[in-house]
Amino acid sequence: MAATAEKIFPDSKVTSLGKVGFDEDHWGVGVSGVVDDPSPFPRINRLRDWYLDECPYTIDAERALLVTEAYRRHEDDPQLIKVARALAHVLRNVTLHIVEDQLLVGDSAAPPKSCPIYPEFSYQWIVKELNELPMRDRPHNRYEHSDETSDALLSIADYWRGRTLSDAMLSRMSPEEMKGDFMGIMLYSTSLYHVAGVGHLVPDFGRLLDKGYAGLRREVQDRLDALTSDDPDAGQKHDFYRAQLITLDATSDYIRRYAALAASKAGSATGTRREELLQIARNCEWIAENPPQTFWQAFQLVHFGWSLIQIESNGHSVSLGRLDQLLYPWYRRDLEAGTTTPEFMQQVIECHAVLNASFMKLRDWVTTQANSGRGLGTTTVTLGGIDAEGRDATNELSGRFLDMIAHTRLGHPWIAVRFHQQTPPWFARKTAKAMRMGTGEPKIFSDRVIIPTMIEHGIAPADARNYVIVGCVELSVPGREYGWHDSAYFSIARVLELALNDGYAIGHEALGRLGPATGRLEDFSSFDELKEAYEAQMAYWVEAQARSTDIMDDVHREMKPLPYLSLLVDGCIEQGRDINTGAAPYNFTGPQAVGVGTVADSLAVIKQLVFEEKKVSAAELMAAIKADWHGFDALYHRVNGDKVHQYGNDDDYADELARYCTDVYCAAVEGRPNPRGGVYQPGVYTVSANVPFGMVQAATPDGRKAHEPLSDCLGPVHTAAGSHDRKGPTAVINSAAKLDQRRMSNGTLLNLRFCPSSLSGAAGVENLVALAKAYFTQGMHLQLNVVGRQLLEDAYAHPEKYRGLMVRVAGYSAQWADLSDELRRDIMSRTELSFD
Amino acid sequence: MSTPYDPDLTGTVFNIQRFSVHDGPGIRTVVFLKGCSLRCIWCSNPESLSSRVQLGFSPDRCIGVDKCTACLEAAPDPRALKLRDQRVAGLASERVDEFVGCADACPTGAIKAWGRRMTVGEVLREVMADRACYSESGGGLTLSGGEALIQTAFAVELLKAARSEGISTCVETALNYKQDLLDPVLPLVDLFLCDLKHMDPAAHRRYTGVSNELIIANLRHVVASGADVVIRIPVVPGHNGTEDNLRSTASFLADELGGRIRQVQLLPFRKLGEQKYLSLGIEYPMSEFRSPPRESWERDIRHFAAMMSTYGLEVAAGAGSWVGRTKGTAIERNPDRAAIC
Repeated sequence: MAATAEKIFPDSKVTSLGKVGFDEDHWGVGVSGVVDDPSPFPRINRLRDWYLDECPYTIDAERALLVTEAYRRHEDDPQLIKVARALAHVLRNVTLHIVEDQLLVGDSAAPPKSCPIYPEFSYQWIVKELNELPMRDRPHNRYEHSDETSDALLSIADYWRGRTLSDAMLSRMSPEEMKGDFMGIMLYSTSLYHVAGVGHLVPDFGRLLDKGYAGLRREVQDRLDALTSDDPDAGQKHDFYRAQLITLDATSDYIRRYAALAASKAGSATGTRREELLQIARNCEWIAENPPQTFWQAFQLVHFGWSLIQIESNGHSVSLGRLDQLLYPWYRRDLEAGTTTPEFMQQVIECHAVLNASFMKLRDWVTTQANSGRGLGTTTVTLGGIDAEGRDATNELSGRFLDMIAHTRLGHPWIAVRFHQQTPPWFARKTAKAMRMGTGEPKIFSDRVIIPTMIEHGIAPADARNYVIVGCVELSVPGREYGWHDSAYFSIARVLELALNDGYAIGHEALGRLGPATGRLEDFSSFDELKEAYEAQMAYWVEAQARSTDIMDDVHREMKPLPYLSLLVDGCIEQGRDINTGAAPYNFTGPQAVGVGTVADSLAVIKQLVFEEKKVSAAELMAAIKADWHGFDALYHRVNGDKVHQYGNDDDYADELARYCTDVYCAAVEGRPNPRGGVYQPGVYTVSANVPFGMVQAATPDGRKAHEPLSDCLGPVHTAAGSHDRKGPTAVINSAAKLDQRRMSNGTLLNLRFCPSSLSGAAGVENLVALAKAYFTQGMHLQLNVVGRQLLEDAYAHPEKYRGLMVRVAGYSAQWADLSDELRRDIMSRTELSFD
Repeated sequence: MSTPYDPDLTGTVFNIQRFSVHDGPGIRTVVFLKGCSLRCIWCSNPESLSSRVQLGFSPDRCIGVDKCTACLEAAPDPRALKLRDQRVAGLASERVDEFVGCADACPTGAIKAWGRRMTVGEVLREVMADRACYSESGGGLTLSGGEALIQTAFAVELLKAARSEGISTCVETALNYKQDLLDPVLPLVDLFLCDLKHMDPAAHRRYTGVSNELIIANLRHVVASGADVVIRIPVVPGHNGTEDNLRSTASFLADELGGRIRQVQLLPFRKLGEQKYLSLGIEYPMSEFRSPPRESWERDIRHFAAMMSTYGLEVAAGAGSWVGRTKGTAIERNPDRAAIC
């Protein structure tokens, strides 16, 4: 019996919106994770309950203290050696944990659901928060910590003052370079890589599975032995290989430490658990050096391979890539050999979901208020799609990962499904059934649009066909690309504001003129003059953003080489160069435009009402937005009403302006060289950055009031007065498909929110597949929110009742309980597309 | 398939709803045509009844004539606009057509024009915007109303236009309609969604204003023509939602129509539309009606569905799922076409 999403329990504690079943037709529609015991495996349900109810969110000081100790001890070593010794010191000394019932091991250098701290990237904000608003006192996204932990963290504050990457970046940036950034008016924000690691790639796990750590070690040792003094870079390469050997030795020791811990726990365990622990010990003992022999070992090795990247650096969105392809040979072999059952391997996959969900990243409070969520960014698994030869790659394991989503409903790891012309119907339907559960997973991507786009941007065809999703949205080549995919969020709505206002930011006139003097709307005699101003401001601000980003790129290269990560990226070992130097075959920098709908509707209002119909004077419109619409009620309702052209309604008038405003952005970004020998490439999506960018911007001509969010991703505008899309999802996808998405090679995203009843039954599955198929002739990427308005309203009033409610934010899903008030309201106000 | 049609013929449309997934197979666009020959007391679309353009007034959406005078400026005679507490509340004039400009000017939707003259070509352009979704889902055009067929010539041209574009066609109709006018429609429709409100002629007249004899004769005629037919029954508690009526309905469909009905859909009545009645200045006939608790009513609907199934009919509670339930050539969908792009 399918669950009824609409059904709201008045009781104080809701853990279930209805009984859902294990087979895919009974996963439920719009119930998200608000279900009890979703897995057929009691072990997984126990782990899920432990995760949701028992294990607290905490902060842990151990990594920070160990890194500090190593930096102090090796102060005079070359940077490469110093960072390698720091990682090795953590791996040899950090406390290890094995969770009851778990089949996989490997922590984040902190206990489960605890945030390790990375002082080398930035530290002042941690000190400030510990002193002013400790993480345990936050109103949401709270993390428990003892006085000992905060004291320990404060004890290293002095050491890190002036020594972090963030400090170095600030010292290199001029006031001119900071005025538009998050330190100024926040026209753009580069904060992610300013305070933390870069991440945003898929390492070459195939290489690791193939060679094992010992094989990698031999390769590095051989390269080191072969160095000759006539190589002009011999010194640098020597350090690089030594650094890699230091991390490799520590890695094998680290994995053997888990073997020892499992063996010792087995000593006090009984029955099946004892056997499992002994096997975990044997698995770790073996893969500490060797290539895996079983599916279980292979998955364990992938997890170690991944988790060490996260211990080395806290970059977001280090993703797992095409696990259905990578792990399939072991899956097949184990089945054929009869050494294990599909049910057991399913449990390994589901255990991984719980383990992966246990990795936490501490974000600063300002960022947290806007970009709520606790995960690492996060880890995306890519399923389906075509192989390097262009044949369908979907296999049994692809479906197993979809089952994992339904059985765990924890939101981790993220799942991306690649659709193409030959996607088998069973897999397309199963994907639709997973999507309509309402956890926000999986998200779906169009091979048909993405592969040619990547090829047009210089990716070899075989690599393009092998593309993977990194984090929320971004497209990447596994093991061969360092994309800096989330380098910046860039508000084109703010660019428009400066274009309307002669380079001044509304509300910040005291700062003086910030952008070039391009005139005022009141002075323009035609709409074309406004376009010229918009284009000039765009060129100026994209350049400013890129200069800051390049400085950050330089600092990461100099101060935080990544010898461990460089083991798993093509070109690094071969050239003896760190990934930060541009050793990967493909290097990009990808900043995203924010506010497409806001700008399109603003331009439409100006074009229609000011220049064509002349119903409103430029002076009146500018006065209205400067007054935040106070005293301009009729105009406010007019621009929010259905008598003006608005993006998202399949209305060419507004859609062409949406295309125009993104084309101008793409033209300013694409092809600009970056410091790693690659180029900039534009993306158009917001994740949740539309909320903080909106918070700092005055009203806009589309009818948005000051502080309201900008439009999300490729979606239409929704303001306090109402949503601007009125014609349903087919009109929205048609509007989005009119944008030139093949220029947006860093990725795009369209979020649609559906009422559960419109996707119910077998017809709902077919219709969802059809809708996706129609969009995917031009569009790249679709995500769904399928949680009923009534449920969200109750969850808004009583967030504490909704354990397990995951919602799609934009690019990522998050636990409802972890979202800020602004973000909750933003999600509720997005149009629910239903026409019952 | 090319079917000639007149793109310039005009009709009165009061809504076009894209992504409709409950009014025929696949993803569809429903074109609502204005005018109805029935006056069902439970109707939730009062704006559909008159064939003329109407103005609806929602004073709660008006921001007040002290702040906005757009409607007054657009009105041929501003004094004809009735004000209540500075808000526009109605029209004291019979010349509604001359005041449509007020609705066009109103920024908030406090004045809404129900009904728009559109050409066949204009409607078709909007319908065909979702061509890609129809071809992927087996969807297409559904004509509804009001009574979809009351603007006969316009409906026929719209169906021909859809035929010429090669998309599937559905008509939702109450069949209270002269039979000779029905004949030109029959070959243009892939699936009929036929309302059947009550089996007893007197009760039918009481609830809908007309007897059911013509309707039943038309239903026999449509079924006899070999058309695909789904029967839709708006089930209203205490009115037609009784064991007796639904038993005689089931018996008629099973015995007299020889089980040639594709499916019977029981649509649970929900008390909606009161606001719209208010905005149009029409009294809501069901204002005294008390809805039964949702859970017991859903249980009743399921019971009725099970009961009617015992007559050998395919019965669905709600307008829900189409997959696997329709098997006519025109609307059959090959499940293996579901692969993406």
